[in-house]
Amino acid sequence: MKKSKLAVLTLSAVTAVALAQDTTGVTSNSIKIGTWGPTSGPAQVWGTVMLGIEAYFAKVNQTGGIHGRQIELLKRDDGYDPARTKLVVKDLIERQNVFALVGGVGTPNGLAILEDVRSNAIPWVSPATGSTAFSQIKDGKPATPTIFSTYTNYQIESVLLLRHAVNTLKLQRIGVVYINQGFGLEGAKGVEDEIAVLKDKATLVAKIPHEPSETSLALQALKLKESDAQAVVLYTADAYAISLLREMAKIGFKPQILASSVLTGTAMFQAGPATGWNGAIAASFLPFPTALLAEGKGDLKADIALLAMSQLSPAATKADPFRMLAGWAFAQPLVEGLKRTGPNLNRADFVKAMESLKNWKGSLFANISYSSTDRQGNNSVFLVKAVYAPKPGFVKVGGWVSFDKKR
Amino acid sequence: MSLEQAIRLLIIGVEVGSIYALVALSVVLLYRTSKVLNFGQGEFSLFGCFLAFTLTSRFGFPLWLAFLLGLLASALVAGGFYAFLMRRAKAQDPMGLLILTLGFGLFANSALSLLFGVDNKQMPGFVDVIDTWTLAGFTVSKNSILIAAMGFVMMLALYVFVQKSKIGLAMRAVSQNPEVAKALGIPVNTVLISSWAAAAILGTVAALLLTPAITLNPNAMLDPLNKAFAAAVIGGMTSLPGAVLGGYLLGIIESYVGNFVPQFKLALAFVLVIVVLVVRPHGLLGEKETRRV
Repeated sequence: MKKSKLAVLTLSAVTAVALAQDTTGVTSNSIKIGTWGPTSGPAQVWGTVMLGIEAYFAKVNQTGGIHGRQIELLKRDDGYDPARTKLVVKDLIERQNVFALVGGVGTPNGLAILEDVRSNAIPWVSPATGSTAFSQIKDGKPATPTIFSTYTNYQIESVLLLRHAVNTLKLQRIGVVYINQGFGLEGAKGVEDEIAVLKDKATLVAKIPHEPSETSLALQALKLKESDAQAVVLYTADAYAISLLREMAKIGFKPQILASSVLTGTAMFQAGPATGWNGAIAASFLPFPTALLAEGKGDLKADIALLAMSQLSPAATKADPFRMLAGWAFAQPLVEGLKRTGPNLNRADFVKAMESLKNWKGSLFANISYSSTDRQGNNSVFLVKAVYAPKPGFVKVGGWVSFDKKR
Repeated sequence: MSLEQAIRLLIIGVEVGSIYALVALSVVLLYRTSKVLNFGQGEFSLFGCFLAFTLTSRFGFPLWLAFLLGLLASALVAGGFYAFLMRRAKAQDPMGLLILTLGFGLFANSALSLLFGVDNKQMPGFVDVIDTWTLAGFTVSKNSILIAAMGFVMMLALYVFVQKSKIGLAMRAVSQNPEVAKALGIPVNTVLISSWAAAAILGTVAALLLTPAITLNPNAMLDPLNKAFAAAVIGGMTSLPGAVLGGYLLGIIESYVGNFVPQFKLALAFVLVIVVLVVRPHGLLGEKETRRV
């Protein structure tokens, strides 16, 4: 038997033993759940996700909790520093004895605690990152069986964007510009792999990285123009994307832009109406409510959720509705799993209950499906288009598109 | 590489080099008088920018007035930083002072995040950042021309200030020997406070011109300052024209190398620094530091 196979089997056995009848964090009237995110430091805006989770739990608690138990949420600030993430999550697991984790912002932060989660077999629903590292499959089994991802991963997202460009917009010459780290590399890989599958339907004419902290992306803009790309997929942070779009506009180059979910914030509209952001297609792992669209009707479930959270947490909802919605959505599958487990809550049965979610449409995500061999629950994106008239914002482009093997 | 591509890369290099040159001027000005590399320089500049942004976007100040007040504020903070912190710690060795500026820079960066937020802000500018002029078929950004022109004006103004004014003469005296300058009755502290303030003004001018193009956030000056340190070493830490030359050289070389090996673009500045330090330690236009024994 191969060593890696043996390791997976051993890990599964250890996990099963660790999970069996494990009721840590559960009392007759409460369930302790932990989460973390930055409420200080440069990424502190993402801390709002925790408030969205809190608002959803407040709604659940108001209606009697789950099988008579109230959810007690323990929030921790990690300042987006992976070293601090490790400390605060260790505290949540070992001292606060949480039953499960939910959310948790950031790829490097999640990676910092992945081993702790794996070795302690802690259920973790909805890591707030699109990295594939959290839903990895090894030898046909989940590498970390207690993790249940809901955020559309960047590779799937980039494939869906590319398919939209090729199949719907009929564009063939594709370029990708990406930040040379984490999600940028995953997005670029998704594009490259899918181009290989699409064969003669599309060609990758430019694959251009940029380093974190580059002041100007003028060089990348020039290379794109030389490649004569008809569509450019962007996997970078908003400041770099804005710089690139402006540099492209300066040299009169405006291909169709397709943007990752990380670029769906309002800051992107600073690029200006004369840049390629006007008309850009963006993918979102969440649906857009009407309030966040420049015009037209948004997603009904998102509208209802926004209304509910604006009553539970009015200030945070007004300040950052999208991240509030994200937290709300991350918490929903966890609550469904807790409900399905029944009154005798333990970690082993919770994992089984989560695996029983098949094409579940009870959350803000398009649908959630898990199995004993799949931990990537959501494989859909909500497509929107950036416009500047009647006001800067997004409009719906057909709503959800889902990943399947058809091409 | 076609001639057209070579010219386009040259234009990009000059555009970026203008920013490096302007920030490098501030680095060198400070180093000449204080013999200190200030790692908080970017934060002084950004404080002026954030203030100007707030004044114009929230309180409706005219752009020129907001910019002027931003410049003044960063000069005051930088001068105050020297007067209240650096001066009191001057018994420290250069390494201690360097750590002091590094620590202050980190603190100031967090303070800017707290005060003004971490989101990307659209800094208004005097020209539309995507507006261009077309010369012989090549497009050149109006903002970049403004930055280059400002760099040139600043360099001239600095030259006149350092070479012709009394305080400039005093700066030169202090940079050569602060003890003797003090003995001759030169108000060394006032001169040093002025140097810190002037360097902050230069850095803030660069930031005010750059941030409309790249958006304003607490880390906006991180890369330009790193490159400016490299440009200053390349041009010569004691030479103002050297700083400008180093800035433009770095921008242009970066552009050509980055076109072929993009992954090497960030490291390139420091490879050039190593080469210069080995081949010509005092930089391209710097003077050898000699010490009487």
